[in-house]
Amino acid sequence: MVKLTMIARVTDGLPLAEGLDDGRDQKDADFYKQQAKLLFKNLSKGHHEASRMSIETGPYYFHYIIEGRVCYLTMCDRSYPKKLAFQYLEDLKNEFERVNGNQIETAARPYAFIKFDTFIQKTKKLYLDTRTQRNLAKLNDELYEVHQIMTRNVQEVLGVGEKLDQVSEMSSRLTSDTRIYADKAKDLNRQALIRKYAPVAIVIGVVLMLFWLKNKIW
Amino acid sequence: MQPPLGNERPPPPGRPVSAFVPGAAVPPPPFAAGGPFARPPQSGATAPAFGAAPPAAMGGFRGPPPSQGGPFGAGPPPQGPFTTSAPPSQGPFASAPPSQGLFASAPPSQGPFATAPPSQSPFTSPPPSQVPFAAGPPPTGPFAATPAPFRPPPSSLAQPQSPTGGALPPPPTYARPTQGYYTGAPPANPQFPMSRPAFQQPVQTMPPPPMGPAATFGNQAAYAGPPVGGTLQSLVEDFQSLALSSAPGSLDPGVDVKGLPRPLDGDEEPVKLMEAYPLNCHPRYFRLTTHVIPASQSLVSRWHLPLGAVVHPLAESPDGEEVPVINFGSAGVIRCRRCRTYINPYATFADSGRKWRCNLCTLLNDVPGEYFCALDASGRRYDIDQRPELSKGTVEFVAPTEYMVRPPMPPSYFFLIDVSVSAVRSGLLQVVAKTIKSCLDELPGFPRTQIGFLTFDSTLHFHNFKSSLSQPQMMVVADLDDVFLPLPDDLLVNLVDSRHVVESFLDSLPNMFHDNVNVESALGPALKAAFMVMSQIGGKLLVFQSTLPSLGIGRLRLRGDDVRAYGTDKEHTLRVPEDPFYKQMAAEFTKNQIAVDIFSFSEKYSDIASLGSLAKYTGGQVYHYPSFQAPTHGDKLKLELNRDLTRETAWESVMRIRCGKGVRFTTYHGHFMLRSTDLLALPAVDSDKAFAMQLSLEETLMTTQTVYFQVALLYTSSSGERRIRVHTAAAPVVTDLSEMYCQADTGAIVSLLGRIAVENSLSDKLDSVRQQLQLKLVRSLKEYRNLYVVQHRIGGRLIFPESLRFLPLYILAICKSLALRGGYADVSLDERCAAGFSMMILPVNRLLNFIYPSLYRVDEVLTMEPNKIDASLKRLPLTFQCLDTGGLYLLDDGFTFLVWLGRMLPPELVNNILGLSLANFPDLSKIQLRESDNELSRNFMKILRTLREKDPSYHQLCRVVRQGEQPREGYLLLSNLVEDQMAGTSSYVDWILQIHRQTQS
Repeated sequence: MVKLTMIARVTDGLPLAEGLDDGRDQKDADFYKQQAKLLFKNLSKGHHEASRMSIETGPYYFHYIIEGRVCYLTMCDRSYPKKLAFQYLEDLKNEFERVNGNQIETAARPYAFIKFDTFIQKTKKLYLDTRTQRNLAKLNDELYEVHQIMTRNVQEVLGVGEKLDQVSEMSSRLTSDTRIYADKAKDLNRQALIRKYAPVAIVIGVVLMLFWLKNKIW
Repeated sequence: MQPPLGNERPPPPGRPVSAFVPGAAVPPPPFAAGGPFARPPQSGATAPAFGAAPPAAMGGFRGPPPSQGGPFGAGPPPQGPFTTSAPPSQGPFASAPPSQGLFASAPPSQGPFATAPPSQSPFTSPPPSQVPFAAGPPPTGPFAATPAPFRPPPSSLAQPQSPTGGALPPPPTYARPTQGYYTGAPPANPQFPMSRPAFQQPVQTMPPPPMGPAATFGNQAAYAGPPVGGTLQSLVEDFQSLALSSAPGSLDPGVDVKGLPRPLDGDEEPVKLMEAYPLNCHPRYFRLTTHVIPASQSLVSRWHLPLGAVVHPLAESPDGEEVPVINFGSAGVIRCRRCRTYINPYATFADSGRKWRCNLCTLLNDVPGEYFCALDASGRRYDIDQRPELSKGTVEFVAPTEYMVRPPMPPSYFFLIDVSVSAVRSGLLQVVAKTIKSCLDELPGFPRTQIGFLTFDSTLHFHNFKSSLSQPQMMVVADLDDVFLPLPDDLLVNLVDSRHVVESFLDSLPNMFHDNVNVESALGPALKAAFMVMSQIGGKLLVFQSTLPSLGIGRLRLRGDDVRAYGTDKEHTLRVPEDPFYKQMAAEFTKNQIAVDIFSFSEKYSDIASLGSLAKYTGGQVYHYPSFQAPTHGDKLKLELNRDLTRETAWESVMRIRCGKGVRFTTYHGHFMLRSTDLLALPAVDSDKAFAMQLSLEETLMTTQTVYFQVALLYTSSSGERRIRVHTAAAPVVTDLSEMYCQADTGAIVSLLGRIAVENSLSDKLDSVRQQLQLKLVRSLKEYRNLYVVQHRIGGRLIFPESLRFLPLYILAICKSLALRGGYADVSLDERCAAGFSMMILPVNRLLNFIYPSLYRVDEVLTMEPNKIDASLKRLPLTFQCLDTGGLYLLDDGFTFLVWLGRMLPPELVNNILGLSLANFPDLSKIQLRESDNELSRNFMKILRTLREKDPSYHQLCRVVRQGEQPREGYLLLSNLVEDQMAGTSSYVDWILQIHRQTQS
């Protein structure tokens, strides 16, 4: 059963539409939404991914397809047939491209096509029950092959991005740290110099002062 | 003997004339003798004249023992001149033989002036002496009646006076109010005489006024008249204009009642501020009670009025001034790192455009690369003209994803309709169903709009609107203790998909419950059910309630209108919600972005106080239609419901007001839920709702020159866009109290004071709430007086700043407003609460019109050409004397139109407009105005239309009342004439005098 549906632009991860009242009766919906958003972010960073993929997370699966720079993502129960899920996404894609195809690139604000949610809602209802005649027919349809679609774990997918993030973060920290180090070294140098010559300078100063005083008084 | 005397005087007009001449000639000497009074400057400069007055006299005036109080009775020194004047002054009376006799009998026998000598003390007391003044000059008709109140007190000695009073032909129309004034006057008088001598001179040197009976009086006025006119005048004039208009001609006492300041032009937006601060947002969005910020705590404590602001974030902007929308795209909304202020016109750029300094917290922020632009020589960005956020005080930003916790919600409307017997009988269902049906096309948010219905009596009826059905299915849930939803979805459906089902439901709704005889109403469980249906999406819940909730949780008692509670410490408990259920429910609703609008129709008590708290904490609104009957109230309900459903609404919004260092907003007033200390949660907000808040200073001394304010409203529009509306304003910091008075904004002050008063009435007695209001006014005027009175020696005058000239009247009007007036018997508890809820949300201009309604005379306008009508409608002061028995008047308070038919109104006019004749004594309460086929009626309806167009937020219900039709006239009209005296309240003039007296003590 479909739990979540999101449509986003791949180039910058901008959400374009989302199913209405998704996450009803689901306490952890926010957590998975967050994960889905991270996924989009990863995709937008250009980690090249297959255009169709299933990702397992907790008791659910994320399924997504990327077509025309738009990512259609849905979250289903593990038991839900993969084939149907991808059929569902395919349906969404066809309708979305038909309605909004030419505006996708120019959309500037988040959820610019939120009106699409009514269609998502309607389509979702068609796919709710896996045992309706219509869905059974789809399942048996061999035309659409889903076997070779890769399945990965969410930690893995998000991890790639995380690692990269870590590296870049570490390098940037390194640059800033070296700069601090250089400053500190200079400072230390100066202090060493002072420590070395200050006593001598003071002694000489005192002696000179004494001489001067002597001249002045006597 | 005296009465005949009085009667005797008026008939021979010739006599007074003769009497007058010597009289006029005589009076000057005393004053000339008085030296100092001889050359008093014009009225405006009275003060120096006082200064010159002999000290003894001064003393006499100051210590106002009534026995001695009159200027003339001030003691030996002043008496000198008067004694000299005595014989001549007797002259005029001599011409009227009997009167002379009378005077002779009075020991000191000094004619009119004789009133003065100490021996005559009872008579001398200021009031009588004032009377003639007032009565004096020709137009004084109003004062004619005045002697009456004085007649009784001074026993035998008083009587010489009464004849003169009787001599005047008193114009009856004005009699009432003036009388009210004078009865109130005496205590205040001791101060007034001060100004008298100064005023006397100019008038006396003037050529004698026209003669005749009135002239006789004018003669007396020569001694007495001007001063009163003058005192009143001086009472009225604010300090600044006092210096300007010193023409003695303005002493014309006709001014006194008419010359009191009246806000007949309605609200004055402080538009001139826009010139001083062109980068500020328009005052329609944000108004400070005084457009400066005091620099120190001590200054705040001397400003006794509230310090705060009125915010109307979604005020409708006129065409051509639409709010610009800005999309920062990938740069994200530019905000200060520390205080989260949005970029605004007052932000300055530094470091050749790479940094910007936040004007609220002065932090230097980086400018994102995408937003960078070079600066010109003066430090302005080159692209400032292309960027409205840097040149306009009001802008809207498109919110990026970070500002959304969920995708933008669709507008959704859920109707909770009471179908118990009273709703059916009153025809309510019919009107509601019809109206909703007619609005379906205009509901905002096509094609995402969601809609749902739940009807209830003693059970809950759910309706399934699944789009595949041809007829809606009704499911009845009788279990009120444990409410559950019979269906998981299809109770709240997409309007486009299920349109036909919804329509067929609305068609059948009135018939469905046509035979319902159920009297119970299970509102509490119904609210719970509605909450379950809506909790996922949020939206607007419209509750149509026609009886007191009687079943299940949230059941209410018939506690209201307990006459015994009034005047006791328990009085306020009637005005607060009884059952905590409603507040808890409201909190739940707000959390789930649900706003509740209450429509109440009960003819009996229905505890609006409890029901209204649902609207209060969810940003909703309360509509109250007492004793709803479809034929009369149908139109009003229809149009107001229509407005509620179709107006542009901002959903799931939050509002925060940031302000510069040193100041802080402390309390907020309006309909909202406070989510943290300064974040207002507003499930739905629209252009009909305004909010008010109070400021306090955090530091004892302000270090900055200017304080900035920024109102930010984050909302979802009906079209599904998430937006941030930002209003920015700046106000200077001042160290001078007079500057604060100068920049005060009466509208904002009244709005804030009204809200505070309504809130106080929930925890205090009405009486003490009104007293608090008065106290605030008095304190602030006293403070103002202390600023000026010493250096300008304007002893006996009430002075107030130009900017606050309407404040006394407005505060009087708040005290007499529906929410706060009177006690138990004056307003029903429900109406009082409903008015209170309305006052909490009304924007400034509508609030002012509500407490001080507009009164128009229409019969003269009706015959004009239709296109001139609008311009020739003039507002009249709200006092009974403005009503002419031959006129047709219209009173508009924003909620109701009241058509008042004068007794002498030509019958054919009435016939044309009402379509019936008054001669048959029809029941005017059931009358409905329809346009009939004649010029007058068309024009009349046109007037109503134009007035309604001015304020589309409510539809004014038109009621007709005829003069003398009690008790309706008293209830509908007279109680709204706020300038008149009503049971237990003072008239405007009284009020001013009262305030004046208190500011001096």
